[in-house]
Amino acid sequence: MEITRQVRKAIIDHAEGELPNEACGYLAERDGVVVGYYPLTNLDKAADHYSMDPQEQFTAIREMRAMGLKLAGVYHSHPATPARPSAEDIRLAHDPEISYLIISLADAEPAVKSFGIRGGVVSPQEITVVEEGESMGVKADAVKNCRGIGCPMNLVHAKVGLAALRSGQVLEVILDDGPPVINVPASAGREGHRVLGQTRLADGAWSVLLEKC
Amino acid sequence: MTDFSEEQLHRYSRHILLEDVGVEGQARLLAGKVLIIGAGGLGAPVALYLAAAGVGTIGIVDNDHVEISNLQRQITHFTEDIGAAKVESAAAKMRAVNPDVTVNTYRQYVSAANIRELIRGYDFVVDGVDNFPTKFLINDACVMESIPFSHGGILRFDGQTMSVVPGKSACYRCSFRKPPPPDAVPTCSQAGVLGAIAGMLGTIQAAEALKYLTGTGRLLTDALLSFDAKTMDFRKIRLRRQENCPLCGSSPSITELSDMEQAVCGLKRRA
Ligand SMILES: [Zn+2]
Repeated sequence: MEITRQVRKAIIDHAEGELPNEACGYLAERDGVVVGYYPLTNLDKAADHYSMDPQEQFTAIREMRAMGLKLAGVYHSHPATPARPSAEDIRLAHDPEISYLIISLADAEPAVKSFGIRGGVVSPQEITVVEEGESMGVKADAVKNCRGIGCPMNLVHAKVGLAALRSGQVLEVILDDGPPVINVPASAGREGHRVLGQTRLADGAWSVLLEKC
Repeated sequence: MTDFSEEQLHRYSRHILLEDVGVEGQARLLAGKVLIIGAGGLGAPVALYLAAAGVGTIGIVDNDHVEISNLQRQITHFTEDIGAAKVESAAAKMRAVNPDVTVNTYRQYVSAANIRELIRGYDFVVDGVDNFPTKFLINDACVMESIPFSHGGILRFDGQTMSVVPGKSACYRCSFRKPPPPDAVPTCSQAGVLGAIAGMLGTIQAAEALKYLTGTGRLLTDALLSFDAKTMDFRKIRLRRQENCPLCGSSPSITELSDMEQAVCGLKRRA
């Protein structure tokens, strides 16, 4: 699987933050690259197993759809054991189409591994870490940091950023989670600009790449 | 491209957000120059909306001073302004709305002698005068100087307006050859006017000026829009540019400006 450096770092941070318990969440992809993650509550609050909150799962899937993302996989952490699926992990892996990603914090350096699990058979998947933006094959020509700027001023700043560019150039807009990352790309798209992709950053904000029309 | 300050981004955010205006359109407004002729019922809302919109340079022409009978509809003038020059009263409110705007005041009548000089250098002219001879004068001068303008008139409950892009669309004379004889048509002060229709018509003219400067949409050209506020019926009549128009036709008979006799209105000549 391909995953952005930011998402990989973010889920390790999440795993470490949940210690000594296991952390869990969803991974979201666009065009085959994991560009977003949705941390979910581990209802078990245990160091050796997890169960996800169905309400949060539902909300996460709905948010993904709203942003044109697809469920790529489930991640969870092993606080003290290696990054390979436990018997329980295999038993509970119901979806053969998605990846199961495990973050092991057993060693000083966290390990992240991905697996496909079909009918009880585990097949390791290679993980390729890509740079944000690079994952969409582009590098931004300018950046507008709209962290902490609500709607609609974030769109005003994005439009100012786009106005300074030539057609075909790319603006990276950093937007807060929630309405900003839903509204701004939608509005920019309505005006004819191309939304190349959006990536969840380590701090929960989003990087959105807009190609000027 | 204009560099917007943070304050300007907030001030003009609702324009910048508009798909058809945006950053570029707002920059065009800030670089734009509009002359408003008449600081009365029509000129007042035009002046306020253009200033609020950030039209960079706004000229306003009027020789009158504020009278108490103006206050019922001329919303740039307040009770405390009675006796002040209308252009100064209007300019003070425009600057208070938006300090970004440069306001040029011309305390004078417009006449055949000065109008071409006055309008030269402006991108767009708004006719906010209350008498036919001056409306024709504005039409003629704008056609001669090739400056687009918005014609507007109100009386009683009725309003009418059209925009003219000289050389491209019908001018006022294409449809209305010459002013009606003096006293054939009552002036505003004889007939009365419902105050709010000055706002209804003036804001249409302001919108036309903003559309022209930003290049948005289609102007109210080759058409006369009229309304009757008693029934709120709006009517848009298609007009065509006339080959035999004495001003903008192929062999014009009007080649220079002249002052026409004006209806005497309360013994005061108005411009
Ligand atoms: Zn004509």
